[in-house]
Amino acid sequence: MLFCYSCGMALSEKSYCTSCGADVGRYKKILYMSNRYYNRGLEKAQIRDLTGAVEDLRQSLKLYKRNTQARNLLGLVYFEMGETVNAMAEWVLSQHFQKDKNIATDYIETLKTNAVLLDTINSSIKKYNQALNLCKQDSLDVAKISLKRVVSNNPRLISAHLLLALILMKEEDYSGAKKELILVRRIDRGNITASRYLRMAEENLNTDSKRKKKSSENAVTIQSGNDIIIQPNTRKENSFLSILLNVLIGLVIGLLVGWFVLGPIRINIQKTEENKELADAYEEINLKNASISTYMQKIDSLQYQYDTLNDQLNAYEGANGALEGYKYLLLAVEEYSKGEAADKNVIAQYLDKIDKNGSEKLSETEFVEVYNMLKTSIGESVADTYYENGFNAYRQEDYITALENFKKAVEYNPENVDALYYLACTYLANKDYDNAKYYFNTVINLAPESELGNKAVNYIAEIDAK
Amino acid sequence: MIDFENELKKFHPSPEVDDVEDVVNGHDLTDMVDFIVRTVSDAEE
Repeated sequence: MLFCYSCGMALSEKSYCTSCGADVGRYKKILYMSNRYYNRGLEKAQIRDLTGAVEDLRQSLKLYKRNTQARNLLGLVYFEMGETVNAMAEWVLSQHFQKDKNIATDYIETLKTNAVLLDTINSSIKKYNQALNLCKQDSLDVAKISLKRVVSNNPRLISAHLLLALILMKEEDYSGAKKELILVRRIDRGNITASRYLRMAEENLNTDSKRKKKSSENAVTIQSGNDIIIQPNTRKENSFLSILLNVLIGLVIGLLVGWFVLGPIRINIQKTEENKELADAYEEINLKNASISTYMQKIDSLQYQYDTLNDQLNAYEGANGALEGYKYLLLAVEEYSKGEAADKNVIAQYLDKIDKNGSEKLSETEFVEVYNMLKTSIGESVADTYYENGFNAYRQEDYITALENFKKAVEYNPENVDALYYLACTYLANKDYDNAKYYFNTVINLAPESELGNKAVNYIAEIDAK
Repeated sequence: MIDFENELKKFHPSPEVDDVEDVVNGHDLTDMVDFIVRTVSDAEE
């Protein structure tokens, strides 16, 4: 069933949409072509011509990107070729275009739930990339060892097989290369690179075998003119001296072979072992680097937790911490609990210290209630003391001390008219007219008919006149 | 005979699982249908 690209309604056999009238002739043709390419791709995938299938399926999607079947099959083909990430990308896109009843969802879920498989695939891809880098740095021995492990862990990874075959051909190990290429052809018959490498490997293998055959033939057949002389492989030696001579020559040749042939072989074996050890060491270094990175992240995380906890601890402890506040509150309560013998000024001093410390640090509601209760209970008495101290300082024209004491007096008893009046007077003496006016107004509001109230009215008039 | 250096240049690093998002975002999703729709709407305008 086809749907109109313009209005989304089902299309009939007509070349226009019977619902909105849009011209859908060319649109239909494109969709048919997309399906045709999909069918071709499917046929090729069925006979394991995966490269050909990829080409057709991509063509199908280039025509119509919402062809879900083509996209899902393309993902499957990529997965079969070991290109898991490309496969996942296609399935994710397929899900994006068709959210319901889409097999791509199952494919993705299968991969997601099989963490071991996904980890193995990813690890082999990483090792393949490392091996490719090693090849570019001319470390072919290490790359070869690494690639052998990759193809053993992830036999589908075609690019790893091909790279390994290329290295083997470079080392003239054509039979080894041929084995790898046959494995590639089993996965993907249409792989052009594998076919090309295989043809060259076979050509070289044939040349080698012909050369060997020819040299063995040369050893027994000698042609002289029209006559063919067949030389026997063994000759009879009758002389004891010649036997001894041959033995000596054999010994010398043996020693030379030992020196010139076995020596390099031994060195080569040693080198291979060293390379293997080097590859293991590289792998170990990579693993350790990953562990170090993980530990560093853990250290950072722990350091952050440590700093946070330290900050919290500092907030509780120390000269300005909440604990300090609780300490003074307890001392104030202890003094208050003495009953009539309690010195309210001492309690006030403790409460002062809490205030300086920041009373908002008493985070618990119960402590705040105790603090407020203490302040209320000693309020009037302490306010009077502060007022007296302030008044004495005011008379001596020590306005700074006076201001501090009057403020405290007002804080403990906000309706102490005398303290409010002299606080206003102190502000006036300090030429802080705004505050002076504010407190004179408070006096007028609290005691409008009093003497202080009248004086306050006069002062406000004076301030306004300025 | 195979030229190893030239052949090696044809090999590229394979994307890793962490790169799926980049691979998806890197897809060119413009298709022939988009082209037709755009052409038809341009013609109508």
